[in-house]
Formats: sequence, C-alpha cells, structure tokens
Amino acid sequence: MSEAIAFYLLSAMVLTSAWSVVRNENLFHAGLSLIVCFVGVAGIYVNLDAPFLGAMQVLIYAGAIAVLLLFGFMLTHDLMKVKQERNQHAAGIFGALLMASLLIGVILNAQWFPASGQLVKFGVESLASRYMKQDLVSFEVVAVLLLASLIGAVVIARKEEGGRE
Amino acid sequence: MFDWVQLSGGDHILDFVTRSTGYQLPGIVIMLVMLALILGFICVSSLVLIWAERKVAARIQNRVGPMMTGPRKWAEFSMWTGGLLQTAADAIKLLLKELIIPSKTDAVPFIAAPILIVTVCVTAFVVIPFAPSFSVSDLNIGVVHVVAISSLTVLSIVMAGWSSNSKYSLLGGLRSAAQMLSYEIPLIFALLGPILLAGGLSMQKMVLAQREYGCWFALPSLLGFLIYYVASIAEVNRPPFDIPEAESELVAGYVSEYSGMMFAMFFLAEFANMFLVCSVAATVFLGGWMVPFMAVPDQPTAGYIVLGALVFFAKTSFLVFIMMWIRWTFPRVRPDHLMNLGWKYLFPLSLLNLVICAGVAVLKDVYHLNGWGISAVSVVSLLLVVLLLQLVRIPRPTSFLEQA
Amino acid sequence: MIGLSHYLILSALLFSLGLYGVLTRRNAIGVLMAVELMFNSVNINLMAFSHYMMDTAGLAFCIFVITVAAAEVTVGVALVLSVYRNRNLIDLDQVAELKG
Repeated sequence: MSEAIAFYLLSAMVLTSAWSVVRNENLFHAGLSLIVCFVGVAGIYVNLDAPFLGAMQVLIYAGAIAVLLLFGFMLTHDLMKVKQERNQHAAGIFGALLMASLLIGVILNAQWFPASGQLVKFGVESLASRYMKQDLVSFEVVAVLLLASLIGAVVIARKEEGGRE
Repeated sequence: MFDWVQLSGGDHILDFVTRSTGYQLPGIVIMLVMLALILGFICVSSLVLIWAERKVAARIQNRVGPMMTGPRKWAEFSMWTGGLLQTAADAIKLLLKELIIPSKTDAVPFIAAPILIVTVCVTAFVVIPFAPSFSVSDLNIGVVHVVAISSLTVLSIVMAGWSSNSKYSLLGGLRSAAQMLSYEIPLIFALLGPILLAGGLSMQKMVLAQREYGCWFALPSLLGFLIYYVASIAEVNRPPFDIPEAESELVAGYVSEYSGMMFAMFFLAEFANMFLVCSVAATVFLGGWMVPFMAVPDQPTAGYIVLGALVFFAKTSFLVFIMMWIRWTFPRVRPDHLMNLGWKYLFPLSLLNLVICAGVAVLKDVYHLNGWGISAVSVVSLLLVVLLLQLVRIPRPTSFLEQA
Repeated sequence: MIGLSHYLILSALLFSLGLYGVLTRRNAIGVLMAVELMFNSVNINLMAFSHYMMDTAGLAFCIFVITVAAAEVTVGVALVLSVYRNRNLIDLDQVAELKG
C-alpha cells in the first residue's frame, strides 16, 4: 500500500520535472528540474528495493553530473539571452508521440512472466560478488573508460597555449 | 545475545509509550516525532557550537569573547559562562531583519538554496548513531547515505552563487563547487578502508566491528582518518579551505546578497554540517558510542545508553574543537594549492590506506589477531609508509614569481 | 498493486519526453540534459525487470549505465566548451558545418 502511494507520488514528481526540463526556456531552471527528476528516480530505485543504487544515483547524477551540466551552462550562457523559437517542433512532437505509443502498446499487450517466490533485496554483497566473479571484464573495461574520458575531457577543454587556426 | 544495537530510537519511544499508556502509536507519528527531535537537536547544537567557536577564537587570540549577554552572574562567575545567550540574541536579531530579495536575482534558486542546504543537513543526520540502539533509522547503506546526501550541498552553493547575479557571489559559488567536488573523492576513498574492515555500510555495524577488532579503526587506517578529517574541513568550507567565503577577499562569497533569516540558514547549516562530519568521523574511526576499555553489556540498560550518548558527544566535540583550533591557526590555502593537495596528495594516500586496511583485514581473518596485535601491525605498517614517502617527490605548483 | 507494467510505462513516458527534448532543444547543453533523461528511463526499465525477475543482472548493468553516462557528460561538456571557445556560440543549427 505504501509502495503504491510512493510510486504514484514519485512518478508524478519525475514526469513533471522531466516536462520542465524539455520545455523550460530558462536553461538554469531546466537544470534544476533535472536535479528534481534525478532525486525522484532515486526514490523509485528505493521503491524497487535497491537503496544502494538510489544512493549512487543521488551521489553521481544529482551530485556530480547535474553540477557539471550547470557549470557547462554557466560558462557558455552569454549569447543565449535571445528568446529562441522552437526548433522542428512538429517533428519533435510526432517522434515523441510515436515512440510513446509504440512502447506503451507493446507494454500493455505483452505477456510478462515475473518470477515467483520471495522478493529479493539487492544488497552491496550480491552486487560485489557479481562484479568480482561474473562481470569482472566489464568492470575493468568501465574503469578504463572512465580514465579515458577523464583524460580526454581535460585535453579537449584546456586552453591551447599557441591558439589554434 | 540479544541484538539490541539494531533497534532504532523510534522503537524505544514506541516501547515507552506502549508500556506507560498501553496505546500503540502509528508509525507516521513516530517518524514525525523523530524528525522534530532531530530539528531541535540541530538548532540547539548549532547555537552552542557558534557560541563555542566565538569563545575558542577569543581565547586563541588572547581575549575573552562574548560576555555581555545573559545574567550578570554568569559573566562574573567565569569567562566560560559569560555570553551564553549571545547566539540567541544574534538569532533574534536576524529573525527580525527584512528578507531582501534583489530585483535582478532569479527568485526561485535564490530562495531554494538556503532551504535545500538545511534540508540536506537534516536528512543526513538520520543515520548517525547517537547512542547504542539510538539512531533515527539504521539504514543498511548508512555511510553511503551520508556521503550521497551531503554531496547535494554543492548544488545549493551553485544555486546561491548563480542566482545572486553579482560577480563576487558567482566567483565564490564556482570556486566552492570546484573545491567541494574535488574533495569528495579523497573523503569517499578514505571511508573505504573502514568499510572494508567492517564488512558493511551500516553505521551501527561499523561501531560493532570496532568492538570485534578490539581496536578503533583510527589505528589500522590512520591515514584514512587524517585524510577524512582534512577532506571534511574542505567539504564544510571551513578555514583554511574557505576560499568561497573568504571574508577578506570576496565580501562574503556566495552569501553576499543574502540577509536576515536566509543568511542565518546558511550559517546554521555550516555549523550543523561541521557537527555531522565530525560525528561521522567519531563513529567510523574513533569507536562511536563505545566506551574505551569497557565491554558492551548483553542486555540494553538505560544507564549504558546514556553513557554511550555522553561518550559519543565527547568524541564529536573533541573533533569539532580541533576544527575550530585549526581555523584560527592556519592561513588560507591558495586555490591551486588546494586542488594540488586534494588530487596529488590526498587521493593517492587514500588508495594506499585502502591497501593497508586490506592487509589488516586479511591478517585478522587468517591469523586471528586480537586488538593489540592489530594495533602493533598498524603502527609498523604506518612507519613503513612514512619511510616510503620520503622517497617520493611530487612537483609542487610554482609561485607567480618563478613563472615570470 | 504496482506491477511490472507500471514501471515500464513510466520508463516509456520518460523516454519519450527525453526524445522530444533531444529533437527540439537548440542549445547543446539542453540536448545533453534530455539525453540524461533517456539514460534514466533506461535505468528504471532495467531495475524494474531486475526486481520482478529477481536477478541482479539488472542492478549490475544499471551501475554501468550510470558510469557510462557520467563519462559521456564529461566529454560532452568539454566538447561544448571547446566549440564555444572557438566559434563563440553553441546553437546547434549554426554549428552544423565542420569547416573551422
């Protein structure tokens, strides 16, 4: 019962803030709505019995990625004071509606076979044993990916000494 | 043995009410009562900490501090009882001031920033174990919960800096965000050592694991303790890492445009955050509510709970006092020195700390050392680390004179 | 009660909103924000299946998705800054040519 109330409240929070992210003219407000959306999604993870993932979502998405996006906006905002008209509005609405109807059609008409038995609580131990035993290679590859993106971002974004042509 | 450390504070209140009146309170009432308790505790402790900061600052600077508020007898009795009501007087003054919202500011983030920072602080207090079986809710992701929720204070500062629409605030906000994001990494990695030793994330389990090991986690992971302490000073924006609020440089940094109670919210949140990080350090590294050289009894007794709470407050207050001492002793750190310290010194040392803790955990599991054995092994390994560090030279940032 | 399809419909709606944002936004940072919405919808989908099929595969993959999203936003914002520095604007219609 409380799970249902939490689900409806959290999904309302997620969907309204997502609407504000894609429709708000002021990009700073869009970034703040994105943070609200992330916190709502973290609540949905907690609702799905994965509190560790919820904490990771808040830490990484709301605490770092959203701040990075806000930084990106603050450093490049000077010229966007002009009110921008909507770009390819009709194509956007058509594409989104088509995708939504396709997906919801599939979801409602498919036969889902959930597993039966006790619902499992996902703890850190099960995740850790999975990473160290089954998904070890992907774990290491993701670590290398993070290193590459860190170095790449520093190289791309730093000021060139001699300037470039 | 009865597992009474896994109870929460709400269970005790429920038990007490049920025994005295026979009426079963619904869960939501317990939640609201615990929330009110936390809010009251934060406000009172912030008031006391602000007064203590002013007194400690005064004594370090060889003067007396606030003495004029409160009854005359308090001032006449001792220097340490004079002016106890000073913070209350300041709070009343700030309450009565007008809340000025400048017209060019963005109103939504401007008002949301102080609200967010206090909300974040209150939410993070939920898992702190004040006494045996007395945390508000002992989540099984305790440590990660505190770190994750505390990472939202960066957002509040960015919002405050941006929405104030003034150069000084924006500079202060951006610098503060960069500093806090950089120092979250050594903070989390320093906590990984005790997490590995305890085998779990829950805060009460950390305290119990220190009982199993027989020694505080500050010994095997002394590097981690020091790194966590330094990183948390940077996280709370305390001097010597207070570039965002550098009082002599940026007027007041990101809070320049705030007045009245909104300013008081930032101030309150800073001191409450300081208490929060010191209490996490006391729990994870210094043994929490465990009394040194005294065994935890099997059955919950009210006397042991009260004693545990007092010991917890003593340890936390000691760490807070050292933070205040550091504030008035060291000069401010230059921003590039700050980044240098965080990335090039603290982060590799925290990885080294993780290796040492892993070694200690293996030794305990394989050879079943007791507390004294672990302490001896830790001291030896730390001496080896100190010797090793003499061989490593990290290039330091040049001063402006050398670059010319 | 709340079944699997509730979470899947939420994920589908969030994905469509993100898609609308990607197709409509002119500012590059706005597009990155909409892409983050799509990542989150995929994560909700994975976690819902992981919960109802009682398998930790979804949880493990979710953490990979979060990590990859972080890497992508890092490089994306760095690219946007670099383009802004060189061309002085980030309107996606006007930076459509590779000629520098």
